[in-house]
Amino acid sequence: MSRLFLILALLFASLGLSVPSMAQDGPLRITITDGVIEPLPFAVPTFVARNSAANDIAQDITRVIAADLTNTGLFREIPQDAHIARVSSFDSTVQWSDWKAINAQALITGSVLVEGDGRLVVQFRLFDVFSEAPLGEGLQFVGTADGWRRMAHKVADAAYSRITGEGPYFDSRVVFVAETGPKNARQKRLAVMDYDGANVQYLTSSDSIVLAPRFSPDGSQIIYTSYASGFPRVTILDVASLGRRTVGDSNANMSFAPRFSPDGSRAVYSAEVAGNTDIYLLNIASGQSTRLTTEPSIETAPSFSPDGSRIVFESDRSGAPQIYVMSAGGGSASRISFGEGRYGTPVWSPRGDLVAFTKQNRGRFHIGVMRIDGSEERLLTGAFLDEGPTWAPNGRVVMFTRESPGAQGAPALYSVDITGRNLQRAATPAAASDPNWGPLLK
Amino acid sequence: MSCDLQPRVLVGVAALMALLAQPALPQGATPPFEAQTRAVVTQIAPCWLVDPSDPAGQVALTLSFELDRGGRLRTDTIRLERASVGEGPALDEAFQAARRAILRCGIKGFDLPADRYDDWRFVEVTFDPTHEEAD
Repeated sequence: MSRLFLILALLFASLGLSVPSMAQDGPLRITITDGVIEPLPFAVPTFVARNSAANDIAQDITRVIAADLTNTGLFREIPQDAHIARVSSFDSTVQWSDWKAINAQALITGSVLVEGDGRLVVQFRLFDVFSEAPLGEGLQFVGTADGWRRMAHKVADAAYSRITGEGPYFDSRVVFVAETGPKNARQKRLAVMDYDGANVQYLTSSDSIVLAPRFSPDGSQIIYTSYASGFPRVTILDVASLGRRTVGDSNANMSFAPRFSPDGSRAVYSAEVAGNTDIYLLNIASGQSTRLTTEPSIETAPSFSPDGSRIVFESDRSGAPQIYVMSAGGGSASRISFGEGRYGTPVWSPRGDLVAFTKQNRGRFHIGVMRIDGSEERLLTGAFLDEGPTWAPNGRVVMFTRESPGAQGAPALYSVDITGRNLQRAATPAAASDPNWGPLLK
Repeated sequence: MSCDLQPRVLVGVAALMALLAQPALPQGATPPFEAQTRAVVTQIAPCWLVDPSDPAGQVALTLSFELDRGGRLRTDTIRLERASVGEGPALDEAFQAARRAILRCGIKGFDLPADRYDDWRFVEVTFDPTHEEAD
């Protein structure tokens, strides 16, 4: 009796119950003070294979969907061996009581068909078990069989967005620097992968060093720093043809840290001319560059705001690296970082509300976020060497490089939620650094 | 009862004790209106996903909606009445989280006494993650 009493009491307390207003004039007024931050339990029975050719791929798609959702830290999959109901047809009636019995709050069902011409047809539905109702319309995706992972990501994106209200991000790619060889003689190549580390493709050879690749807004091009000439030069690579061209101020001894504008027509980068490093704006079509900063200090790591009107960047004009914001046309800049330590590599959130950065303080490196005015700084990670954040397309997750210490130390890619939870290592086949999260795929 | 229970738990225990102290209802009797309206809270709260470390998790806001005589939610009536912050991403996110809570857990409707429809036709729910307990 006493145990039940305590459980009930905890339940009441955890729900933050309050006594509603009584016999009032006007509306019934109630207050809720506590919500739920536990992962939401969901069930995803293996998608129904509509023909024998779809058997294996239906299982693979189901597993990728489950992994996408689970890896967010916001969802918890209920193992299939705990399922009571068996879904044998995409159109079969949902057995609500069976799903409620195992506490599934969301249910994802689907089917897979491999057509005679090899095309893949994936259908899915999402149900809110609580309300015994569909959560949005059913969807169908059609594509080639080798694009099955993308279709799985699209299903997971739809489920994630409908349940959380956040934008999708699973169907996206990441460009990064793949590293091989000993620490003092690393070979570096540009590579792209699915956001979860699958489907790695190499875009350049290891003949010369490459650094800091960044996708164009439509994902068709990558701008990066290449040492092919022996000096760092801003270079643009076409992802489809792998054609390359050097861009930027030809008077510069070095040009580096490039990044596209949100509309893709311009890019910002750093260039060292006559011993001074400043930020320049490149018109992609004309190839003309305009100098945006004139301080005698080092200005670097520029990143546009999502509306293209402002640029956040790193400068040591105060004596140590700090973060500043200026108009996209240049001019005076406002410092926004004032905490203890050194700040660098700022990147504007796609939502526009936050800047992610690297912070070095007391011998440790951190990935953090702050508001555009510098307020509400929050450190998300802390390690021997964390650096170079990049935002997921929905602005909810940050990926970065974490390097382990020692002679055998190597860089790897990690992601973390903007709340600082759910730190995950991306499954790259070898050492990796300098990630840049591309846009949602079309 | 252990003396190291958190204050909120003690409040919860006190609330439960108060409920238990009430005389049992005669068989077939209608539960008090207060208990019925409390069910609105217990129904919505489990669907309110809020992250206290997120900027949106610091926003207190009040949403209103209308119920039909059967206690069913009129989904097109959900409105933001007021909030502790101005327009911006944090408010947008907080509003969507609150709206989803009402839609997800209120879609089945609420079991409320038909004879007091005028008292619960219009509902205002305040989602306030900044307070440990409601006023």
